[in-house]
This record gives sequence, structure tokens and C-alpha cells, in this order.
Amino acid sequence: METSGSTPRVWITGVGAVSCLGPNVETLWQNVLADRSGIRDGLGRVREEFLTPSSKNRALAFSVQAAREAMKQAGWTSLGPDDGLIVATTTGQILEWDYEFVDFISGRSTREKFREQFVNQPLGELTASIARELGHVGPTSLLTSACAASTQALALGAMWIRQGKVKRCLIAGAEVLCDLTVEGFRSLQLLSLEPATPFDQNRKGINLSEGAAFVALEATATAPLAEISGFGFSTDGYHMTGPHPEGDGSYRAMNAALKVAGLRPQQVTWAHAHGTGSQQNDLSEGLAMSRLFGGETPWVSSTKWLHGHALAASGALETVLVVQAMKAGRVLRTRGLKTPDPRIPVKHLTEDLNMTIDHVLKNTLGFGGANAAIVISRPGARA
Amino acid sequence: MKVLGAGIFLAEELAGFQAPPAWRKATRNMVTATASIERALAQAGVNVAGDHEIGFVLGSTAGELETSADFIGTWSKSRLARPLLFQNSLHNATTGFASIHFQLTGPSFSMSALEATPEECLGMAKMLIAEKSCKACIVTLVEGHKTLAKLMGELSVSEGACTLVVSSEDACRENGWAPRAEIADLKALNYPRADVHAPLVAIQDSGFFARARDWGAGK
Amino acid sequence: MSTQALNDVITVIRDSVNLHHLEPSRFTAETSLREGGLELDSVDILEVIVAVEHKFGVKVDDAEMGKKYFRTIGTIADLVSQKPN
Repeated sequence: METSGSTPRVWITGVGAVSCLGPNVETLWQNVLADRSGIRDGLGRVREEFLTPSSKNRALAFSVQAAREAMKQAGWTSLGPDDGLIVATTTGQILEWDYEFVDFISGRSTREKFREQFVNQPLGELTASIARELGHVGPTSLLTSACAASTQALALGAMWIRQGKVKRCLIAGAEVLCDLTVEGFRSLQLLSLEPATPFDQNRKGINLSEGAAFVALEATATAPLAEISGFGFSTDGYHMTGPHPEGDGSYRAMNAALKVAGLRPQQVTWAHAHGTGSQQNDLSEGLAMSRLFGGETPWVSSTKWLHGHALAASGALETVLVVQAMKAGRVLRTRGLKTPDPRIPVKHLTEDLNMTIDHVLKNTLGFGGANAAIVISRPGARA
Repeated sequence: MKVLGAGIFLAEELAGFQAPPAWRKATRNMVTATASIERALAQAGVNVAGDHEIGFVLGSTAGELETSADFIGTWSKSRLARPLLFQNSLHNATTGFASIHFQLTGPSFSMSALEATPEECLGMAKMLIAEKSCKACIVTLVEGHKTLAKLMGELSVSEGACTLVVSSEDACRENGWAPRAEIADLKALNYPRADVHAPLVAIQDSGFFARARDWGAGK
Repeated sequence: MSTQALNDVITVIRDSVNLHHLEPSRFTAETSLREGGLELDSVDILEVIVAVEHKFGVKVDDAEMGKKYFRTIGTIADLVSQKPN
């Protein structure tokens, strides 16, 4: 595949995922086609039988399994010193120290034992652990911008390739369910006990989920799966946990992504939304999309009824799903949507649609008002 | 990479600091980070409010550790899950608070890369400027972990925040900004290699802090 | 509502969302939690609900009940006063 002018293009050559819908991408995809939700009691847990038995901690176990799947598909037998690794996570290896902390402050454990476990606290330790497992010594980075983090990581990997810092880059999103996030989101009254129903007028909230998704990016590829052709970012500067009511920041991030891709809004086949199922997110995001597309949106959908909201890993996991859908030529509808909210002016599918997918706008909105969007293009869709 | 302004704010200064009422929900990290940004922006003389081309990258190895620990501790002891504590407990809560205070609307990122956090944050800023996603970038490093340090007996660990406002030579020329310094080697601003038995980092040990202190003082 | 209940509720509000910078005279039974009163946002109000539930042993069962009782300081004191001793 050629470069465009002097800036390298960024190709997706491998994907991997461990999620509540299965131990790998193929199982995830088959469950999507069978309309099977991985949400139980409002949460998307990765079942133990999905994991290859090991002594690794949960976050690391998810990551290594998904990484190996992506690398295998990309044909990477190892990682070299010039390859990049960029991870996105909200809580990292928190399960290694949160209960230990509670035991220590309750007098049930010693300071030595707590310190031993606490070394896992810095989020960067997850990247270091993944790097050790994969034998990676090249450049690494880690993004912690909550729900927008792995979309940002994909964009950063694209920038590293475009700017010549690396020729290959492995992008990861990894998240574990833990008391901090589950009870935290519950305290904000954002959780639903049923699978989420994005854009529905009766939507009741989100489902937190866990897992890891890996995407292999390269500057050159003979048979790529897709291209990251654009990226855009913005900040709302509005509220710590609620989006701008009209989605102003989200609009600007999506607009910037299209500009980098050199696309007009009308060229977007499908806008894969963040669509969490929360009252505020879906409304703000829908208004932003309507504005971006001049009132005539392409097909807009969210797939979170299936796999939940994997926080920092959501952008990467949903990119993996978009790549599968693009390969299959199948735009996915919003499962769970029964009665579209009339205040949200976007175009919904009632069934999945078989068609050639040229360009997908993948959007995410994060706590703290960080917005990130990427454009995923079919190989050959851009000159 | 050109430096337009620098500012530091150490946790020791909190005792004498009068935070505005609007900061009533702010954590210590949020206060130190925001105060250090204020100082850096004052020196840089750059107006940032509502400017979509001003980027913001915030790095921390521990993040909102104290707030997370507070939430987890309160939950475990009394089954009380405090929404305000949770809102403040994710790494990017610090980034969100500062961006609301300064009305930052450009690209913003939260990062955490152990001892390479300073280098990665500045590297992100460099990428964003090269890609024209922004013309200048606020880069802030913050650490706050006093309670945990005490619990672990690590009493010498310093905490606070430091900020550099950075840009490129071209962007400085286009916007009429006068750089005060230049960063040639991003790696030189990192923390010394962390001792695995000392899980908290002392912000004053980082090269980023040392340069921010010197450049902030006009050296 | 009793004066004691009102004062206890005021203390819980001031502590839970850190309103110690406001003069005590700002806190009356008629003071609204939101605009025109204490200017609390939605997360502040959730925090107050959680603090009131914990302190006074009341349970806010649903959003309707939350909207009904968490309008003014006085309506919270009414809720708290209803709880049998």
C-alpha cells in the first residue's frame, strides 16, 4: 500500500480481543451475529473459561491473550526495538492492591505485604508488565483519559507512524471490573441492571465491562484489514462527569478527524457512536452528530448492548468490532434499541445492513470532557 | 521544543494558599496542578480560554491515588460509595478540573508512564504540534500521595505539580511568542530510574521539576 | 421539621459538599439546593443524598423521591423528621 504524499499511511493489520463475549475476536463476532449480549446483572464480566490458565493477574492475562491474537493475525512473530506499544487503561492492575490496601488499613495485613502489592499501583506498571511478557523494549506510552483513552491511543500510534517515530505499533486497551469503578459509577446512578439500550427514549444507564483489545498498526502492509485515516481531539471544559449538553466538544473532535482524513461528512458510511446508554451521553452525542452531518446523519449505532462499556478499552474494542464489520460488509444496528428518543436526530437501522463500508467514524467521549474520534477506512476507499 | 513559560507549586505551599470557593471540590492534585498552570501561563503570556488550538497534557505516576484510596477505604468500611470522591478519583479527573478552570477546549490527554512520564507527556505535546492539532501545549506533571507515603513509611517523598507551556519554533514565530528556553533532550526531564521497592516517586527528583523551577525563576 | 433536624441537615450539607466558605445565614429552610440557592450540581446533590442516607438512616428509594425531598434544605429536614426514632 502506498503512502499519501510524504506522510506514511497507517494500516491496521491485526486485531485481538478478550471480552465478555469471548476469548477472541471470532467468538466475539459470532456472538454479535447471534444477537447475544455478554451482560449479566448489568456487568460484562470475562468468564474464567475464556482465559488461558496462567498465574498472570487479570489485567495482564486479558492483555497478553489479546496481544498474541493481534500479533498472530498481523504476522508479527516478535516485537523489535523500533516497534511501539501504547496502552490505555483506567485502573490498570488495581485488583493487585485494592483488597490488600483494605486489609492493611483494617489491620489484617502487614505493611510489608501491602508494599509488595502496591508496586502494581502505578498505571505504567501494566505497560511494563505487558512489555515484559511480549519481550518488548521499544518505545511505550500509556493514556489514562478514561473512556476516550484507547481512541486517543490509536490516534497516538497513528501519529507515531506518520511522524516516523516507529514503523509498527501495538495499541492496547485493557480494563478490569473493580469496586472503585463499579461502586463509583453506581454512586453516580449511571448503571443499568439490564443490557444498555443506547439512544432509546427509555434508556436507563450503562453496563460496565472488562477485557482487552489490541490493534496492530503498520506503515506498510500488503493485505491490511483497514486504515486509520483520521483522528481528532477536543475538550469540553464543561463538567467533570457530564458531557457538554449540545455535544460541542464531541462535534469538534469528529470534525477534526474528518479533516485529517480529507473526507466530507457525506463520505462517512457509518458513525459508530460511543452510545453508552446514559441519558446525557446519548443526547449530547446525537446532537453533535446531527450538527456534524448537517442534519442528515449516516447510519449511527452503538454496540454497547452486546459488550458493555469497557471504559478505557472501549475505543479499541469497538474498533476491533468495526474492523470485523467492515470485512464482512455489514453495518451493525443498535441492538437493544426499541423506541428511538425523538430528541436525538440520527438515522437508526432496524436490521443490520449488508453493504460496502468505506469509512467509519468511531467516536468516544470521556469523563473529564476529553473527546476523541478516529476515522477507519476500508483499504482502497481512499486514493 | 520551545518553552514559553514555567511554573511550580509544591504541596508545602497548600497550607498558606487561599483556594477560590469554586475549588471547593478540588483534590490536592487538582489544586497544585491548577496553581502551577496559572503560574506558567502568567509567565508565558498566552491566552488560553476557549482557544481550540491550545493542547493540554497531564502526567502523573500515582494519579488521584489518595482520592481512590479514600473511596475504596470508605466503601469497604461503611459501604458508603461517595459520588464526589469517585468523580475525583480517576487519573483524568485532575485533567478535567484544570480544563474546566482554564476553559481549555483543545486536545487534552492524561498520561502515566512511570519514570518516563515527563518524556511521554512532552513527546505527546510534540506530536500534537507537529500534526497541527494545537499550536501550543500546557504540559503538567503532578504527584500527590502523602497519606499513602505515611502508610508505607516513605516520608521523604515530595509532592506537588510543575508545568511547562511549550510550542514549536514555527508556531512561536506565527503567534509572536518569545520563547524563554529550549528543550533539546526530552529524556533528561524524566525521573531517575525507580527503585521497585520504593513505589512512590518524589516529584522534586524529576528533571522536569528542576527545569520548571529554574525557568520559572527566570534562570 | 424540628430546628434540630434543620441544623443537623445543614451540617451534613456543609460537610459533604464542602460549603464552609458560605456564611451560616445562607442556610435556611427555604434555601434551594440548586440555582438561586446553594448552586449545587447533580453530583453534589447525589453526594448530599448519600450523606443524608448514611447519617440519618433514611433510604431514598428512587429518582422521584430524590426530586421530591432534595429541593430545599427544609424538604430534606422534612424527610429526616419523618423517620421514626
